[in-house]
Amino acid sequence: MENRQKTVRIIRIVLLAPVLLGMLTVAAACLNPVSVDNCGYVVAIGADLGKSKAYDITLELQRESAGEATENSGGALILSVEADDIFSAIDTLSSGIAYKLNFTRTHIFIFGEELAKKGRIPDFLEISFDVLRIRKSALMIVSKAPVRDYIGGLVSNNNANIAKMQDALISNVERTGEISAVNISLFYEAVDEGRFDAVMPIGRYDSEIITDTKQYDATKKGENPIKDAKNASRIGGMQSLTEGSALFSGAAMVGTLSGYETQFMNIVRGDFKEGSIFVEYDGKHASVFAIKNKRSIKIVADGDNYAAKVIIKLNITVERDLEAQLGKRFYTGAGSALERFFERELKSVFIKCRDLGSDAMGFGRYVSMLFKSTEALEAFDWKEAYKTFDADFTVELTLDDGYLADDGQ
Amino acid sequence: MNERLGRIGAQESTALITTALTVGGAFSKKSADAYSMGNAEYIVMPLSILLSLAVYFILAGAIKRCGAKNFCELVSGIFMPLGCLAAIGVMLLMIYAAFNSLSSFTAALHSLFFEGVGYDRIALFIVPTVFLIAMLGFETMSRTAKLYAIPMVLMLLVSIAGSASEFRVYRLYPLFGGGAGGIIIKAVERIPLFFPAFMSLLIVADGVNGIDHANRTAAISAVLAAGILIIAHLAIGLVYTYKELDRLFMPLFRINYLSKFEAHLMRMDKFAHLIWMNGGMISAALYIYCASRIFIREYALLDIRPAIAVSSLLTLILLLAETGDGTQSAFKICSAFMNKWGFSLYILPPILVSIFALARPKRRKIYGK
Repeated sequence: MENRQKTVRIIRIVLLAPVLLGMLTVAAACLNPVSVDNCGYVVAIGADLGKSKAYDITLELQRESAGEATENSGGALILSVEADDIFSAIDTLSSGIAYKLNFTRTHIFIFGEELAKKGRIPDFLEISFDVLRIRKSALMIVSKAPVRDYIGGLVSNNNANIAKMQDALISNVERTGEISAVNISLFYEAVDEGRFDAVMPIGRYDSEIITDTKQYDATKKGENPIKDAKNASRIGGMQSLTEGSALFSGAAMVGTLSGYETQFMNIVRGDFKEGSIFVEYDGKHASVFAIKNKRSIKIVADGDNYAAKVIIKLNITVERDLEAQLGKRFYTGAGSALERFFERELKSVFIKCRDLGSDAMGFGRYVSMLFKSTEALEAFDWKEAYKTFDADFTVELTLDDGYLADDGQ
Repeated sequence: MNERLGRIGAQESTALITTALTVGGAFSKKSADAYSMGNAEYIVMPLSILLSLAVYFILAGAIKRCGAKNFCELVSGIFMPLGCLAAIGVMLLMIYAAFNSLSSFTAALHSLFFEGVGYDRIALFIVPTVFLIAMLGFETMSRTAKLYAIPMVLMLLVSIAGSASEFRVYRLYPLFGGGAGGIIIKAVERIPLFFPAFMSLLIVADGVNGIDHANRTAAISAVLAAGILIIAHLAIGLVYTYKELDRLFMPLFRINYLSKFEAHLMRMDKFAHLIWMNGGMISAALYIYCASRIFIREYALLDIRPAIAVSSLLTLILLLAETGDGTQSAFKICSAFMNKWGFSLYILPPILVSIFALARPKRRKIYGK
């Protein structure tokens, strides 16, 4: 009897062992291993209008192995082709490379200005992000320069890691407020829902920028790169930059805001955290460091007309004030003058956005909260109502570090 | 008799049922019209749990009144000649619940994790694992659930916390889409997501030390799961509008995609998915075990293992049928029916059984000693 039990136990183990081993190999990916060397990781995807095909698609790759790409451009590699969509671009490009394109690390999409103005971004993005394994948290940029040049400028300083650029972009939004970041997910929400409009950072390319003084080509330009670079607007860093914002109305780009205007737009939109703002009070110029304190938006409906009462509270620290009056007279007139200045600038940026048909400040989000049912909300035409929409701004400033402003320390 | 039931305490049973309820409410495939009247899932889900719990208590009352130890005894006692058919019906419904627990996870692994690996291959990997868990018996799976329940909930909270910077209240509007009527209809339609967990508790009531203990477990699990689901669906609603949710598959998995700033925490979605999937597999194992138990009790079989094998195979067939070449369209029709009218299949028979049982004179024992 005991022997029989032993035999049954052995038979059980023999039968179960292959099943368990099979499952383990699947779990450990032993059945279909893929080395990182066999993948080309696409970190940025660019799209411009094509000449012979619908799009001119550019991919920036980060290669993991110490292969041919790393020797010339610090691990970055650019592939570009004209194609009708990203899948045909992948097919065409794949025939010329010895590895598989992988999109799991795609962080940034860059679109040409013309393509954005024609409202073709959703058409280009009409892809299955799940199939390509692209995360919808990837950021979007509109490039004033040809996208190939812009992406070329990104790798011009051996900067292969777009993830760092993504971080830099976000930190710029948070530290200066001079650009506005939007990712694919938010862009889709803006286009499909129409409760607000997307705002993207504008990419610029400057070929005159000396990207890395140490690697400057002395044989062509002389032996002192700093001296030779006297005509360049900037030395060091990438040739591609982001500044200001591209305004969208639905899917189409309709205008731009400067970095300064973007700060005011961001204050109302809710994306502004802190930043230096160039201000004017009583005809004098100064520079203050503003930190968001509070923001409240109340929508008032009068029939089909809507209006917003916006209250903004900011804490400011005086950074530069040649007259040294702002701190001394803050509570005796200068502060109020500054508040009126902020209100004027907010109104002016609001009117600019409204005239372009772009709800960049996102008032539609608050208007949508007035509706009780999906039917009523979906029947409501926010774009039409936005034409007559008005906003009243009230700014309240609090002076931080008053001793700095008083003494100019 | 080899039933592999064992005995578990209150903590284990609560962990198991809470896991099954949470998986049902947070990770099951949504019905086509889930967001047709806006997003009110954070009310619909707890309300549906409450309704399922009410049906559970009716049934538990009937079992107690008849002096039965569990639901299996109630079915075989009351239906006499129809008992066999009723057992098969309950078995099939439990297998459908097992399929429901695994379907989303399988699809997510296929579409979001493993490039080029077919849905069928992934199903072929998952179901044998579930089969093994079910084979180990009720006590083992309950203790495993106790191990996984806390990490599962913690991972849920971490994911939600990671996306908190993108919470926007306007996305919840219009609030309570469809009004009270719409909410109640949807809550009733969602009963198939929750009732199987309560039904399981009745099927294995003797394994949790009797109906009284089972009642306590059901009540505590319902409160815990309702709390978790309110938090989860509120978070989803604050991150995605109802229109986006209508298009999205597995929104909890993507809850961090909206965050503009990607921290390491937000790249944990795959890790989170694997932890949540453990919950799905344990829930599926519970349903397979219960399907098998009611079957062997009704047919007086001595060993549960062949029944578990058959139930697992049927679950696998459902998973394969969902995406199979010739079966996809037929499956879609069945699935739409189950989403809309499945509640009637789950609750009407138990209610009829209860009415029948309660109509009998009180304290009359009709089962064993």
